[in-house]
Amino acid sequence: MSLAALGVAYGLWAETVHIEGTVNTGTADLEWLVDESSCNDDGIDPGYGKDVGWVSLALGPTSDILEVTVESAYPTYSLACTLAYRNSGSIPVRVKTIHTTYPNDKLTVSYWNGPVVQLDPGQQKTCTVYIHVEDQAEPGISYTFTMRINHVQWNEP
Amino acid sequence: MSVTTRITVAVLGLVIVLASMGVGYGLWAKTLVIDGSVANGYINADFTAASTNDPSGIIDPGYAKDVGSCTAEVIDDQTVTATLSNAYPSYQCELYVTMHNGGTVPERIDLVDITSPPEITVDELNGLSGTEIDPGQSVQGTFLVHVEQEALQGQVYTFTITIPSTVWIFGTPGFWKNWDSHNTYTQGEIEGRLVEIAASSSWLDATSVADMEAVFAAALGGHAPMESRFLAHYLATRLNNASGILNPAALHDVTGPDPGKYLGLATPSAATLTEIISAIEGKSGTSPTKDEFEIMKDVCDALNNRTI
Repeated sequence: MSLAALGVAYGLWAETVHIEGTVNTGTADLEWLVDESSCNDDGIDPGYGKDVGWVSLALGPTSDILEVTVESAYPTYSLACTLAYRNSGSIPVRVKTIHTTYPNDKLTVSYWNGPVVQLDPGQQKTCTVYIHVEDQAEPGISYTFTMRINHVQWNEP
Repeated sequence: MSVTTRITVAVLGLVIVLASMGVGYGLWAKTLVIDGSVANGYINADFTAASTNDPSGIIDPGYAKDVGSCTAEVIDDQTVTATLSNAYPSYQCELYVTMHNGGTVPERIDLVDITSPPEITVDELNGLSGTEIDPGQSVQGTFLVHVEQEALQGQVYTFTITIPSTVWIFGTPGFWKNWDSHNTYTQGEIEGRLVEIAASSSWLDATSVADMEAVFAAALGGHAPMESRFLAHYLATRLNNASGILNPAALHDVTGPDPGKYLGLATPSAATLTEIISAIEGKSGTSPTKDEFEIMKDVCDALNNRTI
């Protein structure tokens, strides 16, 4: 209107078109599959003739953290669990390491996760964890440690 | 004269009057239709196609797996939606849109405006910005959408690409003032016409584009003298005539802007451009009043915008 009022119309016609974009990001999640039967102490303590100690498994605050509790154990009690986890997200991930946090004066925990692999959504992998109760372990105490899966997005180095 | 004769004469007279009105109306209406068909150019640059380089089922660009996907769809003439699904940091796709000028005048796409959050980067690859689309022609624009490292999983981010386009109505003072923006005519072509116009006009003496721009600049501003405003429109009219944008022989009804017949045209309802120019030139040296300048300005304005 102002231009028109000036008497010298610019003679400009204009229109505008739009591209409306939406980006939905996927998820890169791993979850432990809790299965206590995956441990080799399904009754009689391994290496012994009695059923004394045992372990219980539970998911931690997030599904990629597993809480392992050694119950009624005693020095030299040992066992191994072949634990499975899967890619529960929508993006492939690369599993790098398993991070364990345990009272190392009471327990020794080691694991074998195999080579670094890429897991597609839905795909599973196993990790074997070895647990040994040390001589410093105190009687009547349950020891809990955690196992967290360190993973990165599939296209990261 | 008998009663019958009087009635007969009255009826015949009425028929003649009605016939005259009918003929006059018919001519007027026809003129309007013809003018309308000449005048009403329209702009209409629409989206006609949209696609991407990573539709569902295709390996992600730059990678070896099909994880993310990117789709684009023309929702309506003015809107394309693009959706990136299951995207992840470093995922990117190219978005292609085709714009078609279904109008009758060339359009120029102005600077494309992109709005996106920091987690998403959108770049214009083969620039639509500054592209001109002739009537009936199509152009393709390519945009690169990239997901940055900051992007969180399970989120929804949105971006908008705004593509403005404009068209200069051929023949207005703005069209001529911006001659070097649309480059419809070269400087040499314009100056050649200016020299011809100056040689045949008592009103106009611009012979260079600088002179021409000065004439248009003098008409800007709310306090610009009516004479300056008239000269700007008249110069545009003369350039339109010299450039063939306006047909010298086409008929124009100037009774709207000149109801008092100030220009003195023989047939103001159907005057040729040549006659109108001649009438305006005839006013040179007559010291027109402000209102008279305004009449001539309005006539030229209407001619330049093809509204008469």
